[in-house]
Amino acid sequence: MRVVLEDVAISRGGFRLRASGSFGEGVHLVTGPVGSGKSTLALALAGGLSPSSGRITCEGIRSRMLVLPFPGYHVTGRSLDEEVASWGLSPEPVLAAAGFAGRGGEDPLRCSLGELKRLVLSCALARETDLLILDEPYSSLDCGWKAELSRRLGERRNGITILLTHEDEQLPKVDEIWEIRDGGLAGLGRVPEAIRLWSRPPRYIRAALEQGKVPANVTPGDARDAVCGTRG
Amino acid sequence: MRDPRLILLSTVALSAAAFVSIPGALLALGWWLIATPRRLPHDRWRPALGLVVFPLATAALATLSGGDGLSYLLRLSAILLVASWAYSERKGGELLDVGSWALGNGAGFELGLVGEMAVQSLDVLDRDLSMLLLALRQKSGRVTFRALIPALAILVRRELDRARDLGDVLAVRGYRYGGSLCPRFDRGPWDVPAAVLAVGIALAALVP
Repeated sequence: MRVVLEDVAISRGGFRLRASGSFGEGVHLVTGPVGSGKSTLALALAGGLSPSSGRITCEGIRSRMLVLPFPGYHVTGRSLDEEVASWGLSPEPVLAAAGFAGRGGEDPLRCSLGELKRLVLSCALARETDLLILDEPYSSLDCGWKAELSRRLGERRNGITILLTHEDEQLPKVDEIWEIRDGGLAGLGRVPEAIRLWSRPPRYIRAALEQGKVPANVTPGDARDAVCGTRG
Repeated sequence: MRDPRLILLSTVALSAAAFVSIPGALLALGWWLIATPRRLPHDRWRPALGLVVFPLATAALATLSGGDGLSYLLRLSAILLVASWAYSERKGGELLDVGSWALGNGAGFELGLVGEMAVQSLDVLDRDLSMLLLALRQKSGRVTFRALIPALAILVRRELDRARDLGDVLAVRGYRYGGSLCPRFDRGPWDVPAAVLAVGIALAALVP
């Protein structure tokens, strides 16, 4: 199971992004500043945007899902129960996991942006898609739910997960790091070796690197372990 | 055509000509062939589909209910083609420039600002709709009318929230009425002849 990008160029408005590489099974972190082209890449990987040149091939992938930054795009149910069911899932466990236990009859339109985000992410993660693309999944979440999302993403070991974010406070355990620089996607390789090559790591990783410590992975806990000397 | 004032004038004149008679519609279509780059939105299926399917469906309904469907098809197609051209030629801030130029920095500025905000909302809605359809296809493989209703309700609410936020920002920045703007317009060599021709077509169609 893998997604292969062969000399791909993606144009969107006046913006152009170049990308080559192969995403295999595991969790891939794609980082880059705001406006660098992460959402453009996410759309192309999900099939919502055709490359102007090159080719994107999905090998052995039967299902794919893109979770967009604004969760409202995904909502089609008239109640929270109906919404979870529309993803082909059983409502009770998913609603409990999203922090909505006992609220299945509520109208999704009455939920806040953060609540909708929790709901959509819980549904997407529960569906066990072969290719899961998450575009800025941490936006609109509070610190507690950011940590919870990282924990759940770290547990996802089947299929390909591509996480595109500029998040600076919280990341899950990942297998590979990619970075968008100067209009092109650069594969930095596997963790932890890739961490040394990262030009814009989150500040907690940067703090560890400044002390000469390379964390084993990219979570805040890994950075803390490295700084405290238990690893690194 | 580059001058937004002449684009607006030509659009109004040709729309009026196409609306009142079949000869006016044919002349407007001829003007579109001669004076524009004749670009249909081929890379974007929704507006292209709208330009073809909407007039055809409405004309078919008019014919079935005893009306003159062909006349309706010709006139509506001409109006939509000219409108599509005018929309594709637009640049940010033009409506504000034209409003201020035509009616001054009071009412003209207000009118231009409202126009700019409306066009911006159309762009946002277009983008939102694309994202919404992609999300629905990913979720359930197909887009049903039943599934669209709550999603569209969320988009409407988002648009209302955006309008309220924009109003708040303007109020916080001290906006009350009108503004100060000295617009400058760029003009291509064929702008004036094309606009004169458009006005001529309108006069020929409107004057008995």
